[in-house]
Amino acid sequence: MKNKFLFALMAVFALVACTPENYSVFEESPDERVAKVLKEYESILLGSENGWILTLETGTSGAYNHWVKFLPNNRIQMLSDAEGTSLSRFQGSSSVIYESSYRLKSVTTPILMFDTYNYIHMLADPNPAINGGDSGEGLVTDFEFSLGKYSKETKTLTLKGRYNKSRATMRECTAEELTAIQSGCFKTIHTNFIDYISENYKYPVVKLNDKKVDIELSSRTAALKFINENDEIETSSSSGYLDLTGAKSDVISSLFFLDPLTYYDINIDAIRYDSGKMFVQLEDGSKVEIVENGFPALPLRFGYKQDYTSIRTQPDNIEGSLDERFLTNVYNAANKSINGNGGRSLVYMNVAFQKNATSGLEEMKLVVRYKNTAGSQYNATWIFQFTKNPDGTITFTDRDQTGSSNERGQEPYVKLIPDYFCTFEYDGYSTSSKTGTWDQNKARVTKVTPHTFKLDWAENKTPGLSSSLGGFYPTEEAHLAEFGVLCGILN
Amino acid sequence: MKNLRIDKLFLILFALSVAVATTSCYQEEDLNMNKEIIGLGGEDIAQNEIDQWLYTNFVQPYNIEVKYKWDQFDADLTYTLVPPREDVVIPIMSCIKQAWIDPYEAIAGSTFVKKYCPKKYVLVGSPRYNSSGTITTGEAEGGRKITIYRVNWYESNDKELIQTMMKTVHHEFAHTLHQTIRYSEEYMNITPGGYTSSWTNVEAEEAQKLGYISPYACASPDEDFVEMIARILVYGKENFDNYVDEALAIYNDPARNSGMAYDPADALRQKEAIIITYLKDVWGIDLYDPAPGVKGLETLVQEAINSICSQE
Repeated sequence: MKNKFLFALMAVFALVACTPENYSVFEESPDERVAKVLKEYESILLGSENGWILTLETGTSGAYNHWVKFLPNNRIQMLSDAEGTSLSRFQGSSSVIYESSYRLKSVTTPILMFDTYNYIHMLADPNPAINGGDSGEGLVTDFEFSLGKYSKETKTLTLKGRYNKSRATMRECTAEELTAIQSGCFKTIHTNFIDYISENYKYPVVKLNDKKVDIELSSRTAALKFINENDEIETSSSSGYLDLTGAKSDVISSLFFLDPLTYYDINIDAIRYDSGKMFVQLEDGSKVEIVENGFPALPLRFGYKQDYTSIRTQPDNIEGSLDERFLTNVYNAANKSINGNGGRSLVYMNVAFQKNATSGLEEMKLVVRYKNTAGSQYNATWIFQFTKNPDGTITFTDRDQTGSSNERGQEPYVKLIPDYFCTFEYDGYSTSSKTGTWDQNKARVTKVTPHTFKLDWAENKTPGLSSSLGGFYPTEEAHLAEFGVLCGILN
Repeated sequence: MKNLRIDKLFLILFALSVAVATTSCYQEEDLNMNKEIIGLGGEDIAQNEIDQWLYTNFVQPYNIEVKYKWDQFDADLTYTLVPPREDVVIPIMSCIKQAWIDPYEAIAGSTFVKKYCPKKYVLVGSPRYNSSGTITTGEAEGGRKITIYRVNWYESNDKELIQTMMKTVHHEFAHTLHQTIRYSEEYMNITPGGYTSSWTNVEAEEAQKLGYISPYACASPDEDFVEMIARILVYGKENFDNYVDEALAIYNDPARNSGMAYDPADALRQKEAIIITYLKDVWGIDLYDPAPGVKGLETLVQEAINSICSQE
């Protein structure tokens, strides 16, 4: 019986297997259709009178805009906005038109390739001298693309790199944009953006989920920096491209990200400029202003083996940032006093956290650097013991000289400085090497008054100074009221 | 019996259906023999001045195709590479014409060049960066296709770059010559012990002490043979003589000659002699000037390179 069914089945197949009519889904041959598609793309490319704006992703440094004009005979002309970002080889790329060739070809899909060298290849060039990329890698981008859909509404073609899969779009350039590009906006949108950020922000922050988050901005990339749930510093960064709105004299371009910049569940699509202010634009279109914070929103990690281990206070270098009370009642007072000692003067003071090699305990080293009238400079050095308190503050409980004649000789004049951290009262103090060794002097200490401080960022109010400042904030009101906050450049 | 009959019925039915199936499919095909084949004859790309220059100087006289426009299928897909700058194509190719084709043609005639030259040159703008940290400046596929890398670095006064490029060209052409007519077996027995597949680890001085003109020459007798020809032509006889003298000096220096079993200078001279004879007997080419006032191949190549590099 089995055989019978098999025969029957085969018979049925044999009868139906043959469709006598030659039937084709398409009217034309595959070759004809491919040629037709390429012709269509060609007429789209050649059809844009003002050329195209090609925005191309790189794997390393954001996206780059190019102006591309397709000409008959497989020729193109190109400009690039790479010049705005300090790559010397790109000098002139925003204004000097570079002509080369292109080709449309069908390789499983229709592709567009820029087949002789132009600005776009400079990004992909594996020679690091051209673009600053890794040797053999370039900026990880493409010059050969699969052609995607053309949207008539947005006049945009979607492209995909064939080697590095870089995303790219080509949008028809308007007459207005072309005028702006011809007057050099490919360079100025970047320089203006970068200048605007550096003039208006030292420590830009944005408030997200009710928390201030540091945001770093450049004209092709941006990054958020924050402490995550695991108490680690997390950086979320995205790259993008500038639009051409900044071609207008009073406007700064907006930076659009290729992938959103994320902070927990918040997605940021762009950095927008609007009437003199910078905003982050969220997924839903709402905007949050970017504000100057004076110092980073990330907590300061200052101490032995931390991000920063010392601060240096040289009042001339941090003019405007140093607390007037500290300047007048501590630093300048000590300076005036040491002036009375043969015309000596202070150079700077430095506070550093370190580990004592013998005891293994963390300690603080205070150096007061001074010079004599001949200009020779010396260090007077004190070592402080301190305790860390549960609320994060620290208390300086005791101090010692190092045995050098510098601090033995100068302490009477600059005593306000070591006293700022831990105040000593002596019933007699000798600077003589015979009667005033540190052990002898310390034996005459009648009262030790420890002082407690909170260590935190200090606002950088000094024009032109880009360094981060840290400060010692006294917790005792009286101490604060009289001597103020010590701040200096973090190192 | 009944079962058998039914079986038979099925069998007949099946045979019938097969017969119908095989015959019924016949139909007349509409063969339009005049239909144009799309894309036959390659892509229709507009010819520019460079293409015309290449046509006049390479395609027409020698049937050599020069590809400078990017083609993924001519490039190595595993490396990041970029196409050439258009402005270097003619300078590079005229350099190759002057320092390779012209000297051979002057001595051996145009038929010789047309017959044995590689048929395809591919130009690549950047070097090929290898994972070992080295860069490749040229390579050849079976004597047919030669790829010249980093043409975008071309500057007419950069003699070293031009020599490196011309060395590749002469190296590959010499391969074609010995693959056509073999050189004497004696050549392989001059320094048989030094050939190694791990020649990349051989240092330049080590190669010299073993009687090779370069580390690459240690790869095999064939590479040795073509490296000798290419280097003598591109860097000149004087340079080769100095190299041989230096090898002899090392051999005679007790401080430097430990472990040397034979005189490398002698080995290099033996190789040179075989090459002179080979080129002369097989191809009728004088490597060096055969008589005062008569230029040999080396002189012609040297003159060409010096003339290219002295141009503004």
